[in-house]
Amino acid sequence: MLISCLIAAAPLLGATAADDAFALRASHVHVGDGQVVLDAFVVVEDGVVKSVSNNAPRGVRVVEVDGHIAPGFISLRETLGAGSENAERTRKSTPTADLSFAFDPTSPNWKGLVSEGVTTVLLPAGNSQIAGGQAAIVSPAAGEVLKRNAVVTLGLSRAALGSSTAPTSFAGLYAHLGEQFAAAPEGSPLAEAKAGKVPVMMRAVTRSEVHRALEFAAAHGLKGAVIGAPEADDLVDELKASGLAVVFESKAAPASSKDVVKSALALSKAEVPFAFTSDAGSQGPLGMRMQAAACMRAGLDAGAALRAMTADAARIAGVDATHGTIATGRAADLVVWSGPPTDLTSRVHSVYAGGHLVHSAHAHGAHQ
Amino acid sequence: MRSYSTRPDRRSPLRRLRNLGIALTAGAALTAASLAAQDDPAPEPAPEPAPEAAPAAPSLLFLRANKVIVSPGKSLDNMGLLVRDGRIVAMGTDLAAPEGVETIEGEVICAAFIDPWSVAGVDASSARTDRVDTASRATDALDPYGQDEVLDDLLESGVLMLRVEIGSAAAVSGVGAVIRADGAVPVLADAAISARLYAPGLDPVSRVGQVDRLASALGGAKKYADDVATYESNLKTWEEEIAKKETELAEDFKKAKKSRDKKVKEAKEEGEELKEKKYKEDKRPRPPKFDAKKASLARAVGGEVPMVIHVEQALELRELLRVTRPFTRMRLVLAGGRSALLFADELAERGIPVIVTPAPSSPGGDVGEMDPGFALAGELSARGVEVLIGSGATSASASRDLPLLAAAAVGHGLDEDAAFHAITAGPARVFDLQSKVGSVRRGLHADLLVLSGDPLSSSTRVLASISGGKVVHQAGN
Repeated sequence: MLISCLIAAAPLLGATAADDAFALRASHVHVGDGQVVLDAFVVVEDGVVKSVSNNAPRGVRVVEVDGHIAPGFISLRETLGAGSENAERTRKSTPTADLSFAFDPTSPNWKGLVSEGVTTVLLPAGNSQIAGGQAAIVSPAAGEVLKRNAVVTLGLSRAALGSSTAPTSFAGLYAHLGEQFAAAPEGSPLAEAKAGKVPVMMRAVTRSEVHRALEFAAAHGLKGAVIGAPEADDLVDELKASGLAVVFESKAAPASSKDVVKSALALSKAEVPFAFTSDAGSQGPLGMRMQAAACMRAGLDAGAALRAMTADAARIAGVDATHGTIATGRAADLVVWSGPPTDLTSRVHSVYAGGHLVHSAHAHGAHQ
Repeated sequence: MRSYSTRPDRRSPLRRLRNLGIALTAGAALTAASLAAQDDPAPEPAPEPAPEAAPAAPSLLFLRANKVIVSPGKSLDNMGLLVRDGRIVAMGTDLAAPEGVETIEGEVICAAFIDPWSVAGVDASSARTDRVDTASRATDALDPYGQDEVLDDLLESGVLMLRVEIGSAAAVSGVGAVIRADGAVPVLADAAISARLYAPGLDPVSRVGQVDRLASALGGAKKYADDVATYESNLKTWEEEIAKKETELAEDFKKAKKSRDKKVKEAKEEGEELKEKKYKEDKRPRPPKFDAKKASLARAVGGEVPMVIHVEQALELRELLRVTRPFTRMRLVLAGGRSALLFADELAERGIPVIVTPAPSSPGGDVGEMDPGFALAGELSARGVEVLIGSGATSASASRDLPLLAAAAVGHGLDEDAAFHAITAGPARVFDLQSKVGSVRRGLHADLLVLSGDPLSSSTRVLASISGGKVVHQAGN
C-alpha cells in the first residue's frame, strides 16, 4: 500500500515536463487581490507568470480552459504531511529549529491537498511549544521547500503550558519567552522577529490569550499574525491597532465555526486581513474552503473570501512577492475551476504548480 | 399519551397487540365486546402537532420570489405564495399579497433543508449511549432547552428539519424521529429504526458476527410478526363464530324458549328434572407474549418504517445485503456507505438509498484505498443509487454544515439537482413525509427558505427561514 501511494504521488513530484512557455485562456481570471479579468490570457514562461491580458499572445501555445482561473490556495497551517516531526516534545523552546526538516514530500496526504487546489503550505511548529522554531513555506505539489525560516512560530495558548514541566502558567510562559527574546543574539530568528524583519505567527485561542499575545507583540515590536482567535470579533479594535493579521484554524466538526464566521465578517469590515488553515478539520483540505463558504453564506463578499485564501495569506506568510496572486513575475501556481473558485459547487479541473500541470481531474480518473 | 403524530395505523395487528398487551397487564377482564373496543383505540392525534400553533405567530404570510424551486430540477418563475395556518394555501404568478399581511421577498424560494442523519436537538448523552434497544425512542431524548443554541444556528443555515437518532454506541438504537429544528418538535415520532454495523478495529470474524446477530434479530422479529398475524386471523375467525352463534341464538330465541318450556313441562309431568345441554364456547385464541423489542423491529421488517443501517466497510455491507435479501418488505437505507460503490448495482436494483456524509478520503482509514472521499455521492448517483446527504450524527452542530456538504458533493461530481434532492425531497420521500414537506406545493406544510440565490451556491444567503408557517429566522441587514 505504501508503494502504491508513492507511485501515485510520483507524478506530483515535478516529473511532468513543463513547456517553456504556454498560455491559458479562460472566461474569468481571478487575480487574487479582488480583481477579476474577463476573457483573459495568462502567459506562463519558465514556471512564472509573464503576463495577464485580454490580448492573445503571439508564438505561444494557448490552452483553452473551460472555467475560472485562480491562484493556487495557500494554507497557513498544514502539518499532516509532516508526521509529527514538527513537534519537539522535550523542550519548550527551540527557536532556531528549521521546520523545513519536518517536510516529507513523499507523504500521500499532500496529494489530497493539491487536488483541492492548495498549492502552497506553511509548515509551523507544534502547538505545544512556546518558541518552536521557524516555519517553512512548501509546495506540496512540487515536493519543494519554497522558503526556509519564513515565519517565527510562537505558542502562546494553554496548549503550550506544561502540567509538570515549566512553564505551567501564563506568567511563567511570558517570563520564559521574554528571556528568550532578551537573550537572542543578533541575526538569530527571535532577534530578526523583534527587528520586524521576519513575521511571527502567535497561537492564541481564547480572548485573554489573544489579548496577552497582542500586548507581548506590541512590547517587542513583532509583526505578523495571531493564529486561533475564533472570537476575534470581540477584539477587532485591538487587532486593528496592533497591525497584526488573524489566521483562523479549521475545526473538527462542524467545519464551519460560528465564531469564526462572525469574526471574519467583523475583521473584513474593519479591514484587518485574515486567512485560513487546512489541517485539523474533519473535512481535510476542503475545510478551508468550507469555512470560507460558511462566511460567505453569512454575508462575506466572495472577493474577500478569495483574498483570505490567496493574496492575504501570502502577505501573512511573507511570500506575497512570489505567491498569492496571478501577476507578472509571480509563480505560476494556477488552479482551473469549473466556476467561481470560492464556490463549493465548483470543481477543480486542473492544477499547475510552478508552471507544471500537477493535477488534472480527467487524468485522475474522476467520475463521469 | 404522546401529543405528537406517529404513522397512520397501516398494519394494525402489532399496534393492536400492543394495546392488548397493555390492557392485559392492567388485569382487565376482557369480554369479546370490550376487546373489540380495544381494536380501535382512541383516534390518533391529528397529524399536525397542536403546540405549534403559537398564539403570537401570524396565521397569514405572503412570500414572493423570482424563482420558486417546486421540486429538484423543476422551478417556476416569478411566483407568489400564500401561507395560512402553517400550510401553503395558494401559489401563482398573479397572486398579490393580501392587505396588511407580512410579506417576505427574495430571489429564490425552495423547500427547507432536511438533514436525514443528525443528533441535533437530542440530549448529548442519549445520542452517544449504548444503553438503548430496538424499542427506545428518540422522542424521549429530545432536549430543546439544552440544545437551543445548536438549534438556533440551524434556523440560520436553513436546516429546518432533522431525522435524529440516539444511542450511537449501540448495535440497534431504536426508533428515530423527524423533528423541526424550531423547538425540536417532532413531525414524525417513528421515522425509522436504526442499527449499526460499524465497529472500527474489530476483527473480521466478529464483524461478520455482528451482521449475523442483526440477521437473527430481524428473523426473530419476522417470526413474531407472523405469529401476531396468525393470532389476529384466528381471533377474527373466533370472533366471527361467536357472533354467528349469538345471532343464531337471538333469531331462534322464541322457538328455543318454546321448545325448552315444553321440555321443562314434560319433565315436570314425569316428575324428573330436565337435564339441559350446556353451551360450551370455543376456546379463545391466545396472543403471543408481547415483546416490545420484537414488535418495534417487526415494524421495520414489515416495511412499515424504514430501517437505517450505518455501515462503512465492504465486509459488513456485502453480508448485510446478503442476509437482508429474504426480507422483501423491509425498506433498507444505508448510512455512511464508504464502500457502497462496490455494490452500487445491487443498491440501485433493490432501491436502497444511501445517506452519504461527504468527507475527504483518508488513505489509512476504514476502507483504505477504496475510499472515494468527496466523490462518493456523485459516483453513487451516477450509477443509479438514490443519494441523501446527512451530517453523520457525530456532533449536534455538524448539521449546520448540511448545505455546505451538499455543495461540496456538487464540487466533486454530484449533479446539482441530485444534491438538492439529497437534502430536501429525498429525505422527505425516504422517511414518508413527502405529502407534508420536501417540495413546494399547494397543501403542503410551509417549511420553506427564502434565499438570495441558488440554494447551494456559496454566495447565497438565507434571507428567511419559515418552519411550519412561522418565520423563525430573518437575515438582518
